[in-house]
Amino acid sequence: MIGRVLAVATLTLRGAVRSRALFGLAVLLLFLMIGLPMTVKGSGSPASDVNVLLYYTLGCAWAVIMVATLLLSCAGISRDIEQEKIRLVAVKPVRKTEIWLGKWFGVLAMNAVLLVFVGVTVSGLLSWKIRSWDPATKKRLRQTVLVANRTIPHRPDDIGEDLERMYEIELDSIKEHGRETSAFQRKRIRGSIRHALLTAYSQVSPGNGKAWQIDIPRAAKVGEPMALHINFSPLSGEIRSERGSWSLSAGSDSELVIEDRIVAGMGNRIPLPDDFVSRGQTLSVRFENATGGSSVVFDPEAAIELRIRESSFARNLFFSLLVIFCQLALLSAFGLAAGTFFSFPVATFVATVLVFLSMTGHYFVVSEKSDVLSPVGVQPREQSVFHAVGETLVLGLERISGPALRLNSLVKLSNGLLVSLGSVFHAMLVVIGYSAVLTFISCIYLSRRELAA
Amino acid sequence: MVAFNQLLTLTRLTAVEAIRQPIFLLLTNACIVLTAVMPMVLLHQFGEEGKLARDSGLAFHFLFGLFVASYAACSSLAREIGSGTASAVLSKPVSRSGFLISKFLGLGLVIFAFSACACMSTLMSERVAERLAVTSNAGGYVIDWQTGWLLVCAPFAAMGVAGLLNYYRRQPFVSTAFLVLIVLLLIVFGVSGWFDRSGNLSSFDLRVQWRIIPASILITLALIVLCAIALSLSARLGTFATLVCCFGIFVLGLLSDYWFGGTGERSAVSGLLYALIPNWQHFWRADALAAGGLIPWSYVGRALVYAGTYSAATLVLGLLSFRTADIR
Amino acid sequence: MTSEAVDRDEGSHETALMIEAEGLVKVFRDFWRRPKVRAVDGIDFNVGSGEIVGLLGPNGSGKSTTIKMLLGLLFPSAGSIRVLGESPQDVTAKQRIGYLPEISDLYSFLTPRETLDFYGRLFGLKRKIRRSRIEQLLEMVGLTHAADRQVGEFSMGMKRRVGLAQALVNDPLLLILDEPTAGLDPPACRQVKDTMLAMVRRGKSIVLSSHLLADVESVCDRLVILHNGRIRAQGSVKDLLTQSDRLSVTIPVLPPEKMKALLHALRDHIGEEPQIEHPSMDLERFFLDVIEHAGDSPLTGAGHHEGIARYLDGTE
Repeated sequence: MIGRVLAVATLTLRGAVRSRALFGLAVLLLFLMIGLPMTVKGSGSPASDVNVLLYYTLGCAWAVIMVATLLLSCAGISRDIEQEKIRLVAVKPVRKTEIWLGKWFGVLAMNAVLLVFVGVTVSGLLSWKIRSWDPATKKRLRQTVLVANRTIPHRPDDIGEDLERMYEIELDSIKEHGRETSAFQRKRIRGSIRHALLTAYSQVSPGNGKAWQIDIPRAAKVGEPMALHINFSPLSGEIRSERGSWSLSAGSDSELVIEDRIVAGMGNRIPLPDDFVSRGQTLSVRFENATGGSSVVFDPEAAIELRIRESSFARNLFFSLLVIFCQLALLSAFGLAAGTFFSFPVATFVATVLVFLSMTGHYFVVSEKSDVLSPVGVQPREQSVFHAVGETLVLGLERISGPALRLNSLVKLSNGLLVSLGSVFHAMLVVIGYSAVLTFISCIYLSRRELAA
Repeated sequence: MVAFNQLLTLTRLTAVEAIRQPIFLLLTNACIVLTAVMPMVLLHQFGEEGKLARDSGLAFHFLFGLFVASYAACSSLAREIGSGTASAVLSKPVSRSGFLISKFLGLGLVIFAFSACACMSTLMSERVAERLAVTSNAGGYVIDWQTGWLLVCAPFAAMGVAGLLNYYRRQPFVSTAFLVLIVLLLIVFGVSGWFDRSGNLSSFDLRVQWRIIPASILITLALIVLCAIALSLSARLGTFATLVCCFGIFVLGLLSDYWFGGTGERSAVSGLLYALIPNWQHFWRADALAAGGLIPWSYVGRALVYAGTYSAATLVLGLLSFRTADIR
Repeated sequence: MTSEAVDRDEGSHETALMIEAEGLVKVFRDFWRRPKVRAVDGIDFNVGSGEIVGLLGPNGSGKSTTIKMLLGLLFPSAGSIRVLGESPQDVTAKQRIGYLPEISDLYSFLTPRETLDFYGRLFGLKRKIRRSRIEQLLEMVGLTHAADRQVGEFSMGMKRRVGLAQALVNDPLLLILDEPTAGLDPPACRQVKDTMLAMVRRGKSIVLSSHLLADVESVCDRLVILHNGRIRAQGSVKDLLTQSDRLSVTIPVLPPEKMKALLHALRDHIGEEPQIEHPSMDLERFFLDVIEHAGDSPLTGAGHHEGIARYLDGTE
């Protein structure tokens, strides 16, 4: 079986190479990876240059490879059937599963080649950029971006009691006006109140303070460089600095107080001594807003987080590319399955639509939770039929395929966050699981399909 | 005269071949349905006067049109060369130039038909979007559900009619569905004029924003340009390679102003690239319609000249390439 | 029937059936499942081991449809098929089948060597055997000089040769050939026939579909003639073509007086004017004779071939 699968895989890869598709893609990718950083400028700092290279450039490369993968995989079987080349293969002692898997592995091999090319090029570009920076900049980058930091978030604000209380008040108020609420409207009301409470808890006015707790897990690597990252903004929205003090303590031995101006905006960072925390400890953080300033609002979900160096950037890049490879493997399985059922253009259309819906369905979930269009105190409008049907379909699709397509490692990579081995295994499991289902369904259909008109 | 008849024959053949592809019907229907559904799904409560519906409709027109133009152009010529029908045609007293031009004209017809459907859908979609309606008794936001439903159902009704014709008269399903779709859209367009936003009979008034039409024409011109590029490339490259190149040219053209400097200071190389790569931003002027704005017809005229010149230049290059291509 | 077929006919053959088709029907339907074309309308035929069966019929008679059902590419609407004792869908049966379609749909980006290697790998042939057979087959079909050029650049005849080679790469027990000599020059046609005969001598079976009646007549043991999806005639070539109520006698040219006396005697006995003419050889034989005696230089260039592959005629 392996021999036959490999034979078909070799055939597929050879076809991609000799049709100059692989070469054309490589040229396009090279052009993108070199041209994009030269033209897209971040804030001008080395950190933003690296961010552009990693996020935008790799992101564009990923998008190009994704489109090419979808096209090639949709054409994999459908074109062979349309051009009747599959006849000579189908009359040989080869199972439909072997043909399907061979085509899939062929596309995977092409993806692997392209990703290696992308990885090597990005590494080369990074090395070339780094050479021109001074040692201090290099050190800072190796702590912030060119690193794999484990992120440990703070404990979420406990709004449970307040949420229930305000929810009951709201429902009673609506009842007093003689109106009824549907399940959809009650869900929206709850979401609105939750959002309002989180926002209120996140605000710190002058002269007041706010505290958080961060639980250090037992698996965390201690003794490595670590820093506290803070995300906050002034309430007025203008980017300027705010005066305040930060007090950090972890056990009786570790205490740190910082009084300084911290520039409002995302990405503030307080470096900590390497041995500041130990495994299993709780890091307490308190912010006091200086009097005479203005109110600041923290990110409700990720106000502060502790980042501890876990691994090197090279390893992170490798794992990130592995996750992307898994995503592409799933896309190619999707495309092959579509190509088994439909002609090439129709298969491309169907696969693209399903993938697009799966990837964007997540934002429907996000908008569902934030619900900024229904202020507290205003009864939300009832959901229209279109909205209900569309939401059900899209969210259903998102629940099925979202875990696979939301494996986004580029955001983590470009922010110096750890792409863990666990996430790679998760990606592999998702790919194997979904691909097995797609293979099974496709091969059943292929075996029942007449391959000669 | 003979050459003209040949041109007409081949143009017609190209158009028929293109609209018989299932993907063409799929793309057209998807464009119309999404455009129609948008105003009924988006719950704007701040009196945006249909801007979202209009912008969405124009965006879908552009997006789906891109696929229609590039795929139709790629597959039309490349498939004919690959399958041998091109050699059968060119072995007749048909010039290669005439063959390529007729392909372009045929695909242009198809793009025009697609754009007409998309434009009608956008006009009606904008009309469907909610408006603030105030009377002496009450005020509130009203969506024209009747027109919206008719528009959503039009593609499905067209497929139903085509199915019946295929069953009883064995007419090809896909092309029949497309032609019936055009007719149904015109009917919906006309019928909706006799009803007001609440679905009550009233005096005839289409109540559409005719200023959308110039924006739609600009998008059609962009699609024609892309079609010319794809056709010229497919004279030498296979379908996949042409699609990838078209994708690359589209991305470059979209970011042309940003990457190659636009009207600001730029190097000679940037200037050359800026001139060579089609700037799709010239054809995307939906923002000009905001707050009651208009796109002047003089601008449309200049865009027409740009598109015509660019398409002609591209086709000339394609012709030069096609003249020496081996046709097996 | 030629002497070749006569020789085989007089030998003893095993009675194992390679193909058993009973009540085969194939109806093509439209999208609404309405019958569109009844391509095959209830046919029964068998193919035994060590025989060549010719499938004849005008265009649209159901030959190709029947062949595709035998190979599992199409599913019969009714009836049953057993190929090498198995269902046509069975993968193990395909191990011993070779197929040459009417139109060789080869991968245009592969060279002949790569094409044969690919199909050889699908048969699970070991590398050493594969390589040996590939070289022999390329030599046999006269494509050694073009072994590393992409098939997409080939003429139709050259593609046909590659198609024939891939049908033989697994030394099949059952060979199904659809227009095997289409697009081939006469020496190549002769070689195809010689290959078929060599294989049959080793107990293999061949199903041959062709419009070239002379080719079919010269190699086939039995004929099945289809028209409008039904069998109109079936039997051995000898039985079908022999006019048992007529005789032809071949004698050397006689002097005029003896000839006259002979004609007179015949006229008296049979009561009608006998037909006398010089016998003629078939055009293929004549053509090959001319080529063989053409000059002292052997055939070179495209199409030059060295005889049958050794593993096919059992000498390896």
